[in-house]
Amino acid sequence: MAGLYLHIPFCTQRCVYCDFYFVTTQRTTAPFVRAMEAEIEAYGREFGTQEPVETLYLGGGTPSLLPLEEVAHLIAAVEQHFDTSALAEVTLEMNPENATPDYLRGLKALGVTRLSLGIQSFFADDLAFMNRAHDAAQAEAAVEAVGAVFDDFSVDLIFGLPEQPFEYWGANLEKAVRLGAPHLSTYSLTIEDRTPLAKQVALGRVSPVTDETMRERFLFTMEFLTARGFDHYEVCSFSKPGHRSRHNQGYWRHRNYLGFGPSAHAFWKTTRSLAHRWSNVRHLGRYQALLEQHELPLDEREQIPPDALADEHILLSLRLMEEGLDLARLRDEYGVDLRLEKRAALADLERGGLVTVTDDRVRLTREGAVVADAVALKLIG
Amino acid sequence: MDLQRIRNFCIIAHIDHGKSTLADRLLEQTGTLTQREMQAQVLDSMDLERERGITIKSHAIRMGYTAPDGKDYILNLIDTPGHVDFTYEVSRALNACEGAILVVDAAQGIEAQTISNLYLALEADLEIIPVLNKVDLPSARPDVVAATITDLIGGNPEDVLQVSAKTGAGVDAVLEAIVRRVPHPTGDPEAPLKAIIFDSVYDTFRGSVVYTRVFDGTLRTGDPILFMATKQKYNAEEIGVLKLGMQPVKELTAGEVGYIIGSVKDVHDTKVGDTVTNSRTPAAEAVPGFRDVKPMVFSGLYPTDADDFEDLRASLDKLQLNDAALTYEPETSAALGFGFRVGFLGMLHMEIVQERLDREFGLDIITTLPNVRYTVALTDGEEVSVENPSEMPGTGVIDEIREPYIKAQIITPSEYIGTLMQLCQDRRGVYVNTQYLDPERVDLQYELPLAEIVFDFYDRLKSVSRGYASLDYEFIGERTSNLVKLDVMLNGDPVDALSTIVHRDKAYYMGRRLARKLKELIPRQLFEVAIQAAIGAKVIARETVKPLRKDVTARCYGGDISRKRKLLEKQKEGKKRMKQVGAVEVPQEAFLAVLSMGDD
Repeated sequence: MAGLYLHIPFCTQRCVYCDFYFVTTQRTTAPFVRAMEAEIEAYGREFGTQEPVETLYLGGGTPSLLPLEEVAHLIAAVEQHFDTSALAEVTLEMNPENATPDYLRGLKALGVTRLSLGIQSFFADDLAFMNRAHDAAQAEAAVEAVGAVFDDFSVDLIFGLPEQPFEYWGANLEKAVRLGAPHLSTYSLTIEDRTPLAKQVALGRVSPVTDETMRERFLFTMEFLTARGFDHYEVCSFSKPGHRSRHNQGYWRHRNYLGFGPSAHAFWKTTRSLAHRWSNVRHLGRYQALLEQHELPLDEREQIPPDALADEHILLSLRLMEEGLDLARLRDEYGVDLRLEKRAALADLERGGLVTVTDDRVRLTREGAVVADAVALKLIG
Repeated sequence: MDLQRIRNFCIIAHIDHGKSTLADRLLEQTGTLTQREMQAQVLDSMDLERERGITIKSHAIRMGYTAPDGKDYILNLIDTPGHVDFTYEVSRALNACEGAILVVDAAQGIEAQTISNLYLALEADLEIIPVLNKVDLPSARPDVVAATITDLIGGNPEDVLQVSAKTGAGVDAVLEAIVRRVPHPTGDPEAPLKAIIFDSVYDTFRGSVVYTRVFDGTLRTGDPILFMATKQKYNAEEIGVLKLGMQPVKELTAGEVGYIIGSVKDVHDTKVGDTVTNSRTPAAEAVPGFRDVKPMVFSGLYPTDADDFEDLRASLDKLQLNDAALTYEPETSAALGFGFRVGFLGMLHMEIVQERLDREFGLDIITTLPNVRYTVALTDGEEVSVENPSEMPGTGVIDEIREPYIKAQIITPSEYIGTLMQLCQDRRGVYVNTQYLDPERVDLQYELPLAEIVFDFYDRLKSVSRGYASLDYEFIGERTSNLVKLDVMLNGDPVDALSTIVHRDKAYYMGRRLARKLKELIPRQLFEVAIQAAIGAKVIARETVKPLRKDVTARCYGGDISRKRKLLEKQKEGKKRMKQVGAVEVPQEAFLAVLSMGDD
């Protein structure tokens, strides 16, 4: 069962923290959609019959900038060139300003089952700082509008903005829950290279919050949401029963996925020991030009050595708070026996309250989730 | 060979005062090298030497010179190492000469090493030819510097030659002075062979190549030879003279300088200062002054990657072929695993060995804090020698601890006397004497424990004197001191490689500073790290490295995985260079923490 990711690289304006690939100058999206259809077709020839597609995810960028008929073209292309008999989830990322009732109903009619709503904050000063395209009123209205059409949707929120008062964060979570969001993705603000935010930090105009503050906010988030009936099923993801993101779980379960669109990534494991990752060019014009010349818009491609594959499996499955890292599977499928190789590290982590080791699975505790990368390093290093 | 036509001489100079440049000019003017062959500073053949601008190992070269009187002379230039660690080698090279050119920078004046080497030259009864170099520099003050020199060695300031080795001006006068003022060698070519080894180098194919000066007798190709101190016998399979390369000859007679090759597979058989004689008709006695050089400074060398242990051993074996002063034996550290305790002549020697291991053998090594050799008298009357602080016996069985002392000679512009005296006092120095060399320059003498100067003393000396002070020292024996072992524990586990021996009065201060420094150097980890400094069972300082508070890059979706994996792989590589002490990951720098503490 594979996942497909479609990267729609259009935005109306640039959010300060964002390091995804996007353009803000495009007037028309039609040539891009034609190029992506060609890409879907090309990959369909090679992979279309290998595994049925279980999930489809339109991310960005801002996929909700696409007119309905172009979304329809893309979904049709997937259905035409891949086996979609088992397609169980079609997600589209949406910005609040695009959440009009007509558009929402149109998406639903096209087969979109789930929306991921980029709220980030319900507070005007936070939104201004992030340079989001929506205001506080739109944020709230969007959640209600989406909830009126879709049962299944997620709200993205960011914590740890510089100067963001602690009360704001509590209020943001509170509001998302009160508005009925069945799924929340909560992210700590990360200062990525080559973003306007990184520049402001370098110039000393913005000071990032301390690790201690991030830690408190994250611990609070886990406490708050689980107390309100959400499962903390992945480090950044909380869901009411039955509302997990199937598509994203595919990443953490180390399943195959293909990525279409500029900068999109793919992972395909052909046999137990033969796996590749590749990515597309990070340039809209080149992406379209290559596909027009009937060439794949490839940027990098690597075969992943077995030990790196095992490392990936450890770091990805550790993120799954409930499923955790299955030691028997790691040993049998990836040839790494952590109980032998990392006996002392496992014991240290368990004694320190960062992981639990039960039923042959390693699971992060809440304290462990806060330092998930360091825990992963301890187990792979 | 007509002894009257031979001159054997060396050049004494401080680093950067122009020894190598002057040597280049001499080779050029005597036609020993053509311009085409000329390579800047040809005598320094090791890359490292050239980079550091100092000569580490001595060499020799023979020049043919036609004097203005029309007579042909043979001039043997014997090069000497210029650093305090190699004083003994210098003394042996000087012994092989009859004269020395004393090169002094006309702007900077005379420096400590130059003076100590000058004294060695005077002791060896050499004729000194003082030369002021860089007289063309605007900042040159030839009159003052010439007066300082003649105060030291006698003579008239106007007899001090003035040259610019860079332009070549005045170099012909130097050649003339060598011929006129340096005495020709004396010796009896018919007497039993007596020749001194002033250096040896190891050649992979031919074994140890001995550089020698013949005092008496005649050495012929094929002669059976005996090294009198090591009592090793070989055959002089090839003998020759040293031009730019080696040039074989049939015989070397009294007064000559040359080389001997005799399939000597072990450089330890060809020790500097030993006497070569003919084993069939040996000399009655050796040339006096031979000494077995002993390492003064010790340090643990450990491969960062435990798998490199055998490579480290092989590399040390190879280095030792060329460096008889280097000693090493395997040791084990609970913290660092398998490694070697390596003995060096001094700090420069240690740095050179480390750099060569890194550069020539590509080995990534951890070096522990250097220390000296302690003599420990036990209560049962026995004495033990301790070269590794972690092997210091328990306080209960120690009667007394003795440590090596040195006499330091510091030459400095007079304005820095105060700060330098303060530095010496801080290092447990005992004041000996101050002497003004000229109105602005002072010769300051102190007795200091060697342990106090083995690490950052020289750097401190340079920094408090803005680079102007120079240092030389000689070993003056052992003295009893009130010393204790300072241990470091991480989360309760002692880290043997961090143990040091310190004076009791400084132990609390050092313990606190060491703990603080380690706190800076040990990165935050998943768990709290307790750092303790202790004397025996008594903890005297404690610091805590707080655990990591947050370490997760927020999202991890399809496009993030390879980036994240690569980041972790990079961190994993970084982790490999850390040493695991219990559950604590300790970076290599921490093992030299004391070195970087500074004097603040």
